[in-house]
Amino acid sequence: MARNIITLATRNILRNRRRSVLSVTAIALAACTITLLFALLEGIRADVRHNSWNYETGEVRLRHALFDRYEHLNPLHYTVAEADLLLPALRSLDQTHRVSPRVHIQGATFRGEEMIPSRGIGIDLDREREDLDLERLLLSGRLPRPGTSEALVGAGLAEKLGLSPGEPFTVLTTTRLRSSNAFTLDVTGLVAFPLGHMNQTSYLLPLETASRYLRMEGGVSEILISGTGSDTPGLVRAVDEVLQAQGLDQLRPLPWTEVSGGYRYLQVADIIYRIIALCFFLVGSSVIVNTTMMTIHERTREIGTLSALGMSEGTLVRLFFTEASLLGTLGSLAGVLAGSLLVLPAQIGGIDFGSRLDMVEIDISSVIHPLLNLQSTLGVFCYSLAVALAASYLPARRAAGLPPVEALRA
Amino acid sequence: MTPAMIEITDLHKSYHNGATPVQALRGITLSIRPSDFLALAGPSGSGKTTLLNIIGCIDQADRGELTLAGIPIPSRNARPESRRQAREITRQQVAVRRKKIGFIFQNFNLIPVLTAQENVAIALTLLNLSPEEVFHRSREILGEVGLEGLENRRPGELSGGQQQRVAVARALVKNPLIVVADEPTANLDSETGASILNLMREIHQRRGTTFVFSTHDPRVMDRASRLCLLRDGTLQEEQERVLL
Ligand SMILES: Nc1ncnc2c1ncn2[C@@H]1O[C@H](COP(=O)(O)OP(=O)(O)O)[C@@H](O)[C@H]1O
Ligand SMILES: [Mg+2]
Repeated sequence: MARNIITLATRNILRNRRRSVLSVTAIALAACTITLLFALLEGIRADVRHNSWNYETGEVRLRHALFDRYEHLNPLHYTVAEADLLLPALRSLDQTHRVSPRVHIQGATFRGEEMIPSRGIGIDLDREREDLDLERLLLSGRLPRPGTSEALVGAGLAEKLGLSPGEPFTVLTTTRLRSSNAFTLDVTGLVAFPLGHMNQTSYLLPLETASRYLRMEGGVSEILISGTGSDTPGLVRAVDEVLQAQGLDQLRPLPWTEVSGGYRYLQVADIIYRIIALCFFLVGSSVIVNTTMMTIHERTREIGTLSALGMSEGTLVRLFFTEASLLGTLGSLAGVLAGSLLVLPAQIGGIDFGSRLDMVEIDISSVIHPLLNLQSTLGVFCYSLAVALAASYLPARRAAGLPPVEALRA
Repeated sequence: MTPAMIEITDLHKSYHNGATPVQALRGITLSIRPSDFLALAGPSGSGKTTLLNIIGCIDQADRGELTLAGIPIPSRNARPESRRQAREITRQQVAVRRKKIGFIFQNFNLIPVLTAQENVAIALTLLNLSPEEVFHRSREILGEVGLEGLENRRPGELSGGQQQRVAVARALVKNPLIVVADEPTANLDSETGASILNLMREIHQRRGTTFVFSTHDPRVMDRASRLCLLRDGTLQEEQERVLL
C-alpha cells in the first residue's frame, strides 16, 4: 500500500513538471535565504561573544559592587583592590581559562585646541597578547613592552590625532583619588580593533603603567573571567566561592548575559531574524498552498474515483501528503544545500561591513564571518519541510472529505 | 425463492442545491436477485444515476431502506447520534465499496498517471493483499478482458474501448458481489459498446456476479435479463426475459 502511494505520488509530481518545479523552487528559496540569514546571525553571535569576552565583560565580570551602581559618576575609587591575592585564586579554578585584570582610563587627548575623548585599557600584555591576538591586529609598529609608557593606538584614534608610531601623545585624566593627572605615552604601533568604536576611541597600554598613572595601589578596575561558556552560572558560583573564602563581599561577579550590551543586542537580533524567517516561510508556503490547491482542484475527479474504489479519506490525505513531503524534502534539501554553498566562501573570507559599523556602540566587528551551524541548518531543513506539509494539509483534507459523488461530478 | 442481493424499499432522494428542490427518486421499491443482469432504462433525468450511486454506496438516500447482501445501508434520515457514529457509518460505507462493489463509469475514470495494470492493481492493494498476489491477479484479469500485452500502457495510449475494458477489469478484479455501471457504453461507438456489453455478460455468466447498469440504448436494453424503466424518479415497468 505504502509503495503504491509513493508510486502514485511520484507520477503525479512528474505529471505537471513545471508546477512541481515552482513548488520546489519556492521552498528552496525560502530555505536558502533562511540558511543564509541564520549563518549570518550565527556569525554575529560568535563575533559578539568573542568581542564581549575580550573587551567588554568576559564571560563573568568582576567589579566592586558599588562601581556598577555609581558607574555614571565614574567612581574610580571603587576598585578591585585585592587583585594580588585574588588573581592566583581565580586562575587556580578548574572552570577558568582566562582571568584578565583591566585598568580603565577615561580621559581626553588634545590635538591643538581640539579635545578628543579617549579610553585607555591597561592590560597584562604578557598574558593577553595571545588571547587578544594582538600581533594580528597590529597594522604597523610593534607591541609595547611591559612596564613602559608605551601604547598601541586604535587606527581611527591615531588618525584623528595625526599620530604614527614613534610619536608621543598626552592624556589628561582623573586618578582614583580624584586628582587630575596628565601623562605622555609613546605610540609603538597602530592596531585595527575588531570593533569600530574602539578603533575610534581606544588605546592599549601595559597594566602596570595604567595602574601607576591612576594611583591604583595594586588594585584594578575590573577582572574579566572566561571559561568554556558551557556553564556560565557555574562559573559565577565558583567565583563567588573564592570571594567568600577571601571575605571580599564588596565585589560582585556578574555573568555577561546580564551585563553585556552585545548579549542584549543578540537577543533582539535573534527575535528579528526569526520574524524575518517566518515571513519568508509564509511567502514560500503561500506558493505551496496555491499549487496544492490547483493540483487538487484538477484531480478532484480522480479523488472521487479512488474514493468510489474504497480508498479511505485518511489514505487520500496521505497520498497528497506524500506528494508534498517529496516536494518539500527536495526543496528544503536544495535550499539548505545552496545556502550552505553560498555561505562557505563568506565564512572564510568574511563580509566587510566596513565603516558602517564604526559608530555603532555594539560589540560587532566590521567584518562578519557567517557561520554554518549544523543544528540550525538541520532546523531550517526540518522547518521548511514542516511548512510544506502544513501548507498542503488543509487543501488535501478538504478534497478528501468531499463526498465521492460530488468529487466525481467535477 | 433465493434471497435478494439488493433489497430496495421506498427509496427517496431529492437535491436541494437549486432554487427549488428536485425530487430525483420518489419511492423506489425493487428487489434484485444475485443472478440478475439488470438494466435501468429511462429518459435523461429520470433518476438512473441517482439510484446507481445510492446502490453503489457513494451517495445516501434521504429515506427508505437499502440492504446489500444482507448489510443494511443507512439512509440520511437515520441520523447518527454522535460524530463517532457518523464516522462509523462512513467507514462502513467505504468498506462496502472497497470489498463488495465494483464501479464502471461512463467516462472510464482511469487514473491517467498509472498503467493499465496499476489501475487495476489499485483496487486490490486497498484490500491489503500481498504485492505478488496483486500483480498476479491484475495480470490475469487483464488477460480475461482481452488486454494481454497492453498491461503497461497508460490510459492515454489506449482506445476508448480498451480503456473501458481496463475499467471492467478494475471493477471485477476484487471479485465483488455487485457491479454497478452507469451508462458504460454511452461514450463508445455502438460496435465497441456491444463488445463491452458482451464482456460484461460473459463475466456475469462465468462468475455469477450481480450486474446493475443504466443505459438508454435500446440494443443494450435488449441484452439485459431484467429491464426496469424509470420515469421521474419512479419505477414505471419491469420486464423479465431469459438471457440469450
Ligand atoms: N447534483 C445534483 N444537483 C441537483 N440536481 C440533480 C443533481 N444530480 C441530479 N439532479 C437531478 O435529479 C434528477 C435525476 O437525475 P439523474 O439521476 O442524474 O438522472 P439520469 O441519470 O437518469 O439522467 C434530474 O432532474 C437531475 O436534474
Ligand atoms: Mg445519468
